[in-house]
Amino acid sequence: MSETPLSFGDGNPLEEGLESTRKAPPGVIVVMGASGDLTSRKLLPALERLSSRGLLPQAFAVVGVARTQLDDEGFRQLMIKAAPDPGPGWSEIVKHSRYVSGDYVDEATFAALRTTLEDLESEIGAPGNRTFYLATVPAVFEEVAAGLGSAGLNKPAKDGAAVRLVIEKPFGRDLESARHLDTALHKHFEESQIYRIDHYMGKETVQNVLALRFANAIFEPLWSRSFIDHVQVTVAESLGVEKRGGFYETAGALRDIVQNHVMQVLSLTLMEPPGTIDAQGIRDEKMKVLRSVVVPTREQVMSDVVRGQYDSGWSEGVAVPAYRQEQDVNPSSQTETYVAMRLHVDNWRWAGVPIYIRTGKRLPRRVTEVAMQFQNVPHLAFNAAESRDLKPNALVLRIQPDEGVAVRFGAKVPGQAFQVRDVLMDMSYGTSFLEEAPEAYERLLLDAMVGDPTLFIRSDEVDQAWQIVDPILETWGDTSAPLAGYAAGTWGPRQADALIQRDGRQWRTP
Amino acid sequence: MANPLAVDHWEGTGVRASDVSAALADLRHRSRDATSPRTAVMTLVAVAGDEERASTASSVLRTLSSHHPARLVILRPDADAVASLDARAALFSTERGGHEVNFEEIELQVCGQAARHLDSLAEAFTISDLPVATWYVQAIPEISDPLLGISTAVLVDSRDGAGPGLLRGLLDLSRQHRVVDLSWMRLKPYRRLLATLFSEPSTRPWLDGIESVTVWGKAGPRHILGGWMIAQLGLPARQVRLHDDRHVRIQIECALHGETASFEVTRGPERTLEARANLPDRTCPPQHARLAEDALGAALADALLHLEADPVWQRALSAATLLD
Repeated sequence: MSETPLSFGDGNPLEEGLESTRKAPPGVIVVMGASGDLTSRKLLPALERLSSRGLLPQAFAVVGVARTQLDDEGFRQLMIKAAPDPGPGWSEIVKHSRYVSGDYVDEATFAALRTTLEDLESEIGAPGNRTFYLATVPAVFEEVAAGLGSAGLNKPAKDGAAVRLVIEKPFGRDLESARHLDTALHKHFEESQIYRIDHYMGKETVQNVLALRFANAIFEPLWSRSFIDHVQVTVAESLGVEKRGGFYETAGALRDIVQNHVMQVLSLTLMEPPGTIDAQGIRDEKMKVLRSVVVPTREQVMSDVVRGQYDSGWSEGVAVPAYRQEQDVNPSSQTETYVAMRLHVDNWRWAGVPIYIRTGKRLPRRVTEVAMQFQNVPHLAFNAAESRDLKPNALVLRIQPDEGVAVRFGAKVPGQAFQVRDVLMDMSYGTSFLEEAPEAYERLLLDAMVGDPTLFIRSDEVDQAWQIVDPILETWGDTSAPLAGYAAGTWGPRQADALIQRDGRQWRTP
Repeated sequence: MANPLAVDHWEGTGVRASDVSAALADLRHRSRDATSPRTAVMTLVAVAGDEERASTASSVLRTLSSHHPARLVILRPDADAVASLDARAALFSTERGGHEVNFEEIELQVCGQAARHLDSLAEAFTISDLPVATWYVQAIPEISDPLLGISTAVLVDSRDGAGPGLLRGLLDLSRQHRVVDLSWMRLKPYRRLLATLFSEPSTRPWLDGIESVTVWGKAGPRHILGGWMIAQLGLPARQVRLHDDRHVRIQIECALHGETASFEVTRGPERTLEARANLPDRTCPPQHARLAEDALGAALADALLHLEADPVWQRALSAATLLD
């Protein structure tokens, strides 16, 4: 061994070989909307899990900001309550955490926040890294960004520190409002500081789409118009709007699910292989796919998009009311709780392959999946009776629940006859790997604090997704596009079945 | 999560490997309604010197298979006994996160000369194309053991012995095979916490001023941690002191520019660890971690996730041979 002591400079040789050395840098996370549901249900538990996994530094604290009148101790109690079985490090974080109460349009709120941050950073020895998480209602995004900007909180207080702004969907209500919001955010923050969260992107199985496609030689050659007949994306919820009727009335399924979750999952599934699996490589390729999606004309909206709303029915053995009878919902509401559509992607790989999308509430079960439906074999040599149950091959990427990958293919039924039947080869992600996957918010919060934007949505992606969805909203607003009813607990309106059946295809039963 | 239940089993004495394979196929056929989905990611072979170790291995591996589906092959060699092969094959079923998980366990008591050629038996039961992880339960294999030849990775536990002879033996083994040390896995929370103490700009410079390192613990862990400090920090062996104790504890004393600081990782109550940095101007807030309830199961789980040789461990092992 060397007798001369080494100089380690900025390196830490004790970290070599340990996984998860990617931990948050010393700093403070500021949660705007700290008394809200998202904070207590998702953000604080995610921070506690990061702390338990040793991924938060010693010099770390949370500052809550909200209109609700609370003091530091009240917020600390909220933090304790949000993590009922905390790891040993959580109490230290709770102890140093602070709360600022005030209105988002009041400059005094941000002045108080600034003072609190400066005191806190001095107390815990944090070097000025600040992550502002906007867990507020979208209506105040602009005010919060402006308030942070006018208090000088949009810029690092010290050299080498980073300031980041994390915002939750929805990013606007349509293309115009999305662009307005984008401009408002960019008045105070650089694009590189803005982290737009779509929690779907934090799901392990969404990220596994990249591994499945680009770490395996067997799938990618089949991943094109040469072999794929069509693609089906299903995002189904068995629940109704619950207590979110008021919010849902202003959103609807198209804004709530299609513009963000579906477009993100679709772009990952259909994109070209990126040169590198990093933020720019992946987001550039996603953007190229979104640009290739044919923006529907008014006529195409009328023929290729079905909107629906659930009536009363039976869901999971319980009689449930119609959407219009839900709490905080207009009794003559025209808001869609279901959308089915056919899209086309005009590029070399996917030209001529229809993409069928359906999403809805009060469907028979909660499931999110992307199914790549393969073409039929050119000639089926078996007689019809022997192969009548045989369907084309399918590769299904199940995102939730039961995350995994399933392949449907034909196999001979044992016996004297040569009967062929579908079998399913099912890889369940949860039972194949021991390691407990981080919850989506846990992953995304750490990414934001570390400064890795790979799984966040770039401004141009948001814009392009709205460009695809906006004509649908406009057409629905301008015309008497029918709102089809469907019984709660069914797979949607018959018009949606007709949409796919007229192409000689049918919806899968996921 | 439910404990795995034996769906069906078969036993035979004085049998051949082909009898076991046939019995296993018959079990699968008979239980096809109860155990349809079967996923496996590896074959796990455990070599247990006696019935007690076999029972320990079986118990921990069954629990592990509930989340990490594998075919389990438990071998009980006894080269000095009269030649015979006694076998037990069983199908297990459990549930995890709403999924049915099924796996198979084969236990072979191998008596006579065949005990010196376990590879010839084990290979008959490995799943093709998948890794084979071989765990030597409370033992370190001979480097000439032919079973090593069919193993993708070899799992050992340096806690099962100490002293320069054992460490050198492990080092030689690791130069020829992918060896994963379960003790090294168990020590990961200690290593991570200690590394964390130096991960911030205010504490990192103290790495250049280490005066002494003291490691408490049982022979295996304290040697491997001492070796790790020597190897990673380029310290002379004389700066590292080892003391016997029930639990691991690491203390580092530093001096830099006329000031001193100390860094410590200690075991607290209820399987917690605490890391403290005492700097001249302040005491940093302590960092904490919690040790797994089932330390052996967690170490095995961690080992099975990677099945890779760890060059940091190899360097630590090499340096540990310099320590008394």
